[in-house]
Amino acid sequence: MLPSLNLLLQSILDGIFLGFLYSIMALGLSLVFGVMGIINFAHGDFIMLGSYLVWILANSLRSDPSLMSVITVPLFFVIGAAIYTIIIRPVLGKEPLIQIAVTVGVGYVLQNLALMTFRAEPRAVQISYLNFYVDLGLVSVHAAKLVSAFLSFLIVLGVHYLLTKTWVGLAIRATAYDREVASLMGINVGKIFLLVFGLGIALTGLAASLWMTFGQADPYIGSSFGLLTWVIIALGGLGGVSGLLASSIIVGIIQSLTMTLVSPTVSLAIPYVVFIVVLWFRPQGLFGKG
Amino acid sequence: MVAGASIPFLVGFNQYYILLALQSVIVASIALAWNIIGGYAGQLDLASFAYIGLGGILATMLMMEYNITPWAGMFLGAGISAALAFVIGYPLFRFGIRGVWYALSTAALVVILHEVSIMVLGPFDYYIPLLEGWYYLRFRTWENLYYFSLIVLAFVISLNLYISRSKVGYYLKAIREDEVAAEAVGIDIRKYKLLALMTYASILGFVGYIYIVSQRTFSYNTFSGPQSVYIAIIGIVGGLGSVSGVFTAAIILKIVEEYLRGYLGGALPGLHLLLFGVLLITVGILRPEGLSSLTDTLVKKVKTRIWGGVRE
Amino acid sequence: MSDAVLLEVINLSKRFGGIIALNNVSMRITKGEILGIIGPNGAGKTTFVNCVTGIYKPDSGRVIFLGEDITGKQPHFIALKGIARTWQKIRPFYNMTVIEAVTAGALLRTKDVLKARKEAAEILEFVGIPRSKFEVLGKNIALIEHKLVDLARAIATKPKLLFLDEVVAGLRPHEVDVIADVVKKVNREMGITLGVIEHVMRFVMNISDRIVVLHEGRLLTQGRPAEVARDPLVVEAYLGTKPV
Repeated sequence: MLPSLNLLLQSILDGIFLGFLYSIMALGLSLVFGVMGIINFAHGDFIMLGSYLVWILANSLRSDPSLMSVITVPLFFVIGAAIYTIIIRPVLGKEPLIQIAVTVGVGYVLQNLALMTFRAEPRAVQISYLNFYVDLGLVSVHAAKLVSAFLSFLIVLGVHYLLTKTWVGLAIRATAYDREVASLMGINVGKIFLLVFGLGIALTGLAASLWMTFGQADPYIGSSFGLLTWVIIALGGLGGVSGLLASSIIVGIIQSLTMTLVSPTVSLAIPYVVFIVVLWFRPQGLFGKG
Repeated sequence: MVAGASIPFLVGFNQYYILLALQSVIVASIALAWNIIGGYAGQLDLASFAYIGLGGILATMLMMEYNITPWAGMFLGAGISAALAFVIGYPLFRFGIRGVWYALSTAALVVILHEVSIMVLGPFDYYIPLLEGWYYLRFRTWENLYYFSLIVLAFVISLNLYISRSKVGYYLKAIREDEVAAEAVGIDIRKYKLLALMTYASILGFVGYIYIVSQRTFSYNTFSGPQSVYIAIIGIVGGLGSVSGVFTAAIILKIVEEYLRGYLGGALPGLHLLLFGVLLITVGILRPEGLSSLTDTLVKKVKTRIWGGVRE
Repeated sequence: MSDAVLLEVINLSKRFGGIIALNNVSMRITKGEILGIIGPNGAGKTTFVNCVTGIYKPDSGRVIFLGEDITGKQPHFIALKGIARTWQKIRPFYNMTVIEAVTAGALLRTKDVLKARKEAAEILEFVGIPRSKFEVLGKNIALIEHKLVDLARAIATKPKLLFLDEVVAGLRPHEVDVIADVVKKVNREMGITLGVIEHVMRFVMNISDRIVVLHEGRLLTQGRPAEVARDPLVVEAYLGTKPV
């Protein structure tokens, strides 16, 4: 039973859209990892937190989820800054296992908080302005997915511009390259760390509001997104924005195709298999320097 | 050990408490096995229930389908889990994957097994038939299994202490502290990490059967990521490499979990896990050595009193 | 003094991206000597040691130890063969005690933990760490003690050749003298051949039998300390100007 061309193309198209959204998720993580050298195990769980928040806000304000980003992005920046100050900064000098363990703890807390508060059933928003399809003959385009993808792409470009063309961006890149030298040059490394971590979490808030225009929230999507973003980074390395986008889209397509051709259940597991395989053979990713 | 064995008598053979004691002992054994890969070798392994599930479900199904005694099944479970550990660990260590990437890989492993088992087992809960007797290691009351689990615990504790004092222990700790420096003094880090991983996995594969029996069912949910993290939390809160700390942490956390469950019923699922997450964060920030400083001094005091001096 | 060649390095090269760290370096270390390896920053000294001890795989060239080709082999294999090293940027075992750290080194040559521990104790006393410090954790000792423990840990592996990578970096002058005495003791009483990578001239000129000078990845010159010190090429390399 071969799938029809329609189905295949549709799947690939959806995968591409999904991939763009994933790139926002991966971007935050990549920034934090690249600049601070720490791995935020809880990154995906912040997306989950944001998704629930968007769900509550969108439903009570009777509005489209993507508009909630106006609230979530600044809020999550503040949350990120707080987490950095209270939890991350104290463990920066400690042994790596403790650093990782602490972020594992944060994710664990978020997951179980959601489980306690919202239970395990998935939640979806009631109102979505873009919940319609545009039929293009061979394929149909879901407006919400298209818009999310487009906005994600814009934001990625925006962050890239920030990093390459502004003074702050230069400071960030300098800190990522060599912390000691940067501080000798007068860059306040602590402030940069705060900024970058906050930015990383803010991006999860954005990703959450875009996700909720067509997706659902449950306590475990954080684990899925988290591992997906790890796959993207393992695949794309930390080389740069183009590597990130490319690997995000590849991952999106792989996931979408597996969901269509094999089964939705397997599609959850496949990215992890890809992850392990990539780790074995290309620790520096397919694209950039690791 | 004597203290442990006397517990059933102390609680007047109250099944609820004996089951609780059984589960505590099992968790302690699992956490102490984790101590080998996490506490001594310093690798943040988040896949404990991958190995427990694999070994345990194998042993259980062999019993259910083919009437093979778990006495054989448990050893087969240990073997297959060790094999899985090798398949995963050999490439990971060979390519020098460590730290966060190792943790992520192990987290991925549990998820993969979770998804695969949904396909293989279906989304069902499997209940273990009440076949009685030592042949099946299954009884109408929990005492016998509890005594057996005490023996297992004694074994795991002895193994931990043995490793700690042996060449392997020194080497693993050196690896944990600084892999590069360890290699420079002649330690084959890949070999020893793999050894630690496979030892840990075999213990878990062995214990899997009694874990499943104590839960009375198994399903795809046996391959639980959150439960695996829970084990790592115990290992860290107890103190990396501290047998007394990890044991104490396991018992205390289990009791807290039971208490919260009884107190709040089903009202707030996951509350205990949330608190443990907070505990992990707090320990990591304020007191990374966990309970070990407390329990180790306590153990030394007890030893001095019993043996009139600390043997080295 | 014997003429046996312990280590032979032939045309060793190593590059990192666009930077050529080592450029066809060849040298010999003979048994029993203390060889000083000097050169300005970026000369390739530490890269050299890392290539010999297996931390880096050289791009080309050969490393031959006691007649055996050990080029590109794993660090633990090379340690087993008898080459040890200390670290420029200290690498202690923070959460192990001093005696445990050195015992870990001694366990390379024996399986018996008690025996290894005894050897470790002897070596620690030999380098000047008192018994009272044995049970102190690695994270709680002073810099000079780190250096001595690092030295003891390396010696515990019973090497024939020991590289000291900027061992006196960051030490006060009287501490430098302490290290110098210990190093000479190690060479004379234990018969360990030494390769001393160093920046502090007073120290390296004092203890070396022979000096090798690296500059920009190349071997510049070699000879006795006094000769090398007067060599105009060496002066130029360090100061960047021709001597008057």
